[in-house]
Amino acid sequence: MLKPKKVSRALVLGNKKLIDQAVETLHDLSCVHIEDFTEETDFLSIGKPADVASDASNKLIKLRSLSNFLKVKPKYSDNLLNEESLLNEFDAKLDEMESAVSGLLDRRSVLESEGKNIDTYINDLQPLSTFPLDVEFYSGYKSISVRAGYIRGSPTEIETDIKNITTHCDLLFTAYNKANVVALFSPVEHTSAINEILDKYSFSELHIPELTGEPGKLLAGFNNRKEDIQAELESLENEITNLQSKYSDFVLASDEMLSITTQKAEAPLRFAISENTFIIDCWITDDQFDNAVQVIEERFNGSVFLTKLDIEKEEIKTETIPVEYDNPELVKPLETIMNLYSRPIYKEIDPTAIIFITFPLFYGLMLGDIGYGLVLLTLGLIGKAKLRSEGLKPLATLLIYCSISTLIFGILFAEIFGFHLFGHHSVVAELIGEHTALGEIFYNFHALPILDRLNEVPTLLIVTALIGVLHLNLGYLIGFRNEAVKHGIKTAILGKISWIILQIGVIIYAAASMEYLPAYSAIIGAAVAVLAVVMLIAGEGGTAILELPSMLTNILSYTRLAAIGLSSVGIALAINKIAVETLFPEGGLFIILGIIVLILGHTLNTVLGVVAPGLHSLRLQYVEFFTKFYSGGGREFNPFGYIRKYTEEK
Amino acid sequence: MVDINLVEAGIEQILANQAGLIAIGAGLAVGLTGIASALAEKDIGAAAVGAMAEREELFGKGLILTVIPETIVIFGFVIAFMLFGIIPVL
Repeated sequence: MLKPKKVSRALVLGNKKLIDQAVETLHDLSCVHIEDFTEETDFLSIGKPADVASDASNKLIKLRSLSNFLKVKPKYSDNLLNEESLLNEFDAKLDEMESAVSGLLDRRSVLESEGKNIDTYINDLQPLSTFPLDVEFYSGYKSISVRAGYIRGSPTEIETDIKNITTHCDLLFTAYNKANVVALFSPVEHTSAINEILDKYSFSELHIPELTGEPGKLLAGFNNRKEDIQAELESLENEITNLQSKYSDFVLASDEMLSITTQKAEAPLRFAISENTFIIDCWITDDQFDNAVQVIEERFNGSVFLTKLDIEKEEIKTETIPVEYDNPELVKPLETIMNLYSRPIYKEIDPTAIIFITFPLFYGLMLGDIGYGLVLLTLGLIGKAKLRSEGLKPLATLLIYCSISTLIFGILFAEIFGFHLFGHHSVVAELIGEHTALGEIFYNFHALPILDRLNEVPTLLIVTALIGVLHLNLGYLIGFRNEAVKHGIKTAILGKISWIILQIGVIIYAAASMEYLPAYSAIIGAAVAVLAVVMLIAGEGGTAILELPSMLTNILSYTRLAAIGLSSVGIALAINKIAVETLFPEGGLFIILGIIVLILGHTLNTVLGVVAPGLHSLRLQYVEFFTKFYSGGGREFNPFGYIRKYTEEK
Repeated sequence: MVDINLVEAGIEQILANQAGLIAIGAGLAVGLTGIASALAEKDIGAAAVGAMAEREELFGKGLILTVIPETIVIFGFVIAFMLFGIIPVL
C-alpha cells in the first residue's frame, strides 16, 4: 500500500538448446516483465522465433478473417474448452468452417454484384422509360446518328435550332427528375453541326444499355429481381448468424490457443542470443522471486539461471521501471481512477489508498441523501453481480463505495429524496400522522440532522473550505516526501513545506486582524508569510509569485462540495414541491400526474447525482490534490503470460 | 413639519431597494460566471471530442479537462452567498 510493488531487474540465462522449455516455464510462472533486447553486438544477436510461429500465425490470420466475416464478438464463457482436444480437432473444424463460410461468401458476392448491375440498368433505363421506343432502337444504324441525354433549357428551343439545319430529324423529349431528357435521331452528315447545338444546351449523354425490349417492361423485371436478391441476401444473413452461433465458442477458444502459441513462439525475438546461450533481460516482483528461482531450479537442474541485479548500482532511470500496484483487494477498484490519470512512477507514493478514502468521502458529502444512496447501492450491487467485463466491474464496486458514503452523509443530513426525515417537517410524520406513536418519534427527534444544508449554507461553505485545506496540505506533505526522495531534503522543504508555512502565516495574520490574537501577532503572521514567499522563490524561482493566488483558488474550489450538494437538494426540493404542494391537493388525475413528476424527476436527479458528484470528486483529486505531489507516467508491469478466458490446459 | 411616518416609509423603501440590488448582484454573479464557464468549456469540450475521435482512450482525460473551468462558476456561487450573508432581511 502507498508504494508500488518492489521489483528487481533480473536476468535469465541458459543453454540455447533449452530456450523453448525456458519460455514455457516463464509463461507458466507469468511473473516476469520482459525487456526487449534491441542493441545487437558482435557476440549477441536477437533470437529467432520458434518453427511453429509462422504456421500458427498463418492459422490465426485465417481464423480471424473468418471470425471477422461471422462477426464473432468476445463474450464471457462458463464453458472452458480443453486445449488438447481443441488442438486435435482444430484443423478439421477450421476446414469445415472455411468451406461453409466460403460458400456463403461466394453466394453473397455473386448476389451483390448482380444487384449492382441491376441498379445500373435501372438508372440507365428510367429516363428512357417514357419514350415509346424499345431499347434496341437507340443504336445500330448506318445513316442515322442517335443522341439521348439530359439538356438544360427548353426542348422547343432546341427543336427550332435543329430544324434550321435539317428537317429530316426526330426529336423526342420528356421531363425526368426536374431535368429535360431528349432523344434525337438525325442524319449522320449533320452530326458535327448538331453537336454544336447540343453543346450550347449543355447536353450530357445517357448510357444506353445493350438490351432489347420495352424499357417499362424491362424495368418491372429488374425491380422484381432486385426484390428477390434482397430476400436472398436476408436469408444469407440468417445463415451467417446460424454459423456464428455454431462456431463462436470454437473461434474464441482457438483464437486464444493460437495467440498463446504465437506469443510463446515469438518470445525469442525479445531475447539476446549468443553462440551457445540465451539471455532474457527482465523485471520480476520481489515477492515472486524466490518461487521463480525454485521452479527454474527444479525444472532445469542448474542449466538455466535466474539472477537479480541491483537497481541502485545499475543506475536505471526511475521512469523506466515497470510499476505493479500493491494494494489490498478492497482498494483495487480505485486503480481504475489512477489509470485514467496516469500510473505512478516507481519511486513515488501511490495515492490509490488515499483516494480510496477521499473519493467516496467527497462524493457522499456532495450527494448526501438516504434515498439516492439506496438507489445507487442497488445499482452498484446489480452491476457487480451482472457485469463480467474487466473494465466495468471495478466501476460497479466504486459505485457501491460511493453509495455507502452517500448513505452515511444522508443520515447525518437526515435527508431522503430531498425530504426531511426528522423534526417538524419530517416526511414520515406527515405520511403517517404526527400523533401516531412512530410519527411522534420522528416528529420530536432533533439530534439529526447535524447540519441542515439548505439553511446553514455559510457553515457548510466554511466546513468544505476547511476540508480543502486539510486535503491540500496532505498533498503538500506527500509532495515533500516524493521531492525529498527525488531531489533531496532541501528542495523538498523549499518547494513544498514553504506552502504550509505560508498558510500558517496567513492564518496568524487573519486571526490577529479578527482580534482572536493580540495585535502585534499580525506582524508575526506577515513576517512568517513573507519568509514562506522568500523560501518559495529560492526553491522554485520568481515564477512562484505567479502561483501564489492558486492557493486561494484551490481552497475555494473545495466549496464545490457544498455547491453541488445544494444543487442536488434544490432539484429534489423543487420536484417534491411541484408534486406534493401543487399537484396532490388538486386531487383526481393530478395525483397520478404528481406521482409521474416524482418518479421522472427523481430518476433524472439520480442520474445527475451519479454524474456531477462523480466528476467533481474526481476533479478535486486530479486537479487540486495530485498537482501538489504527483507526476505519474509509470510503465505498466506486464508479465509474460496469458490470462485464459476460453480454454484450459490439460 | 416632517411627517415621521413618511420618513420611516421612505427608509423602508430604501432598505428594500438595497436588498433587491443585492439579490440582482447575486444573480449576476452566478449567471455571468455560468456563462464564462460555458464559454471556456465549449472550446475544451470540442477539442476533447476531436482528440477522442483519434484515440478513444482519451475519454477520461478529455472529461477531466472539460470540467476544469467549472471552478469559475463555483467562485460566482461563493460570491453570491457572501452577498446574501450581509443582508439581514434575507
